[in-house]
Amino acid sequence: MTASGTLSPNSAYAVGHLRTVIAVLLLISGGIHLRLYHDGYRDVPDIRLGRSFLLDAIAAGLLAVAVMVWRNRLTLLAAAALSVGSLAAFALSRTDQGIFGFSESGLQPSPEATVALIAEMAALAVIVWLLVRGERMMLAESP
Amino acid sequence: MRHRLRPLEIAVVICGLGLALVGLVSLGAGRDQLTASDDGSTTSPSQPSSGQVSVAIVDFAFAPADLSVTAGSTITWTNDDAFAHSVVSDGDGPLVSDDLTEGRSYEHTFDQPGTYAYICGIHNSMTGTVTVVTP
Repeated sequence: MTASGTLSPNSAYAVGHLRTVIAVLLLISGGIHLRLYHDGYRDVPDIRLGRSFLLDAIAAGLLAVAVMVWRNRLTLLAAAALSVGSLAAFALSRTDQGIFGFSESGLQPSPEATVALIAEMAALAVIVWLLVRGERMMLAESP
Repeated sequence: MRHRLRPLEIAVVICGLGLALVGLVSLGAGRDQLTASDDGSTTSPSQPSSGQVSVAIVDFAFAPADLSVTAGSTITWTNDDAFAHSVVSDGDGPLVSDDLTEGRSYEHTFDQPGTYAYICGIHNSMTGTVTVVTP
């Protein structure tokens, strides 16, 4: 960042790639949810749990595309909502009542839970940064 | 606002579309599998088993979940799921396994008659009961 408040060319280049970073993080989280679904979560007695994993993966794939193609606030907000939703569902599944009657403890399944958590939190952090500080640069970057 | 996608960005877009497509196909396949397999029926304990008795851990459930055995019987739980599970007493009780990864087993011999409720220590929505009766 320069003294005038605008981003340096190097910073601008980095900001321009942050949407790619967000999309990749969404793909990681969505890919893990899809894999967990196929590896056994689809067989959890309450089928809504498996479905939620699948819908998370589908939403992550579509939002990864949307974030790259439509460079506006709405796609960032939608990606943030998915990340928050995924994190909230994870937290809920660690409570006694669980989610859809299913509860799990700690960072199980390992290492998938840890990787997905890191990806979702990182995506959220980058999105918030972009919305708060980087958006002006994104607009300036566009022709 | 138009943005010309760079090769890396195009690759990400393709991956995103692929993920969504596989997810949608899986969703359709899942609906096809929704048959009358879950009719709500439960297997009730019948005659008590004795000797070596096996319980499978499969699809995030114990099978059979409820079991009746005679005192002195040994029950072996084997994890057939791809994810770790465990076997621990629900409250005070003798069952306390390590985390069982796929293919691993845990066994316990029940010498005293009684009813032993247990859960998976990782997924406490998975429950089971062993009823031990005198031979």
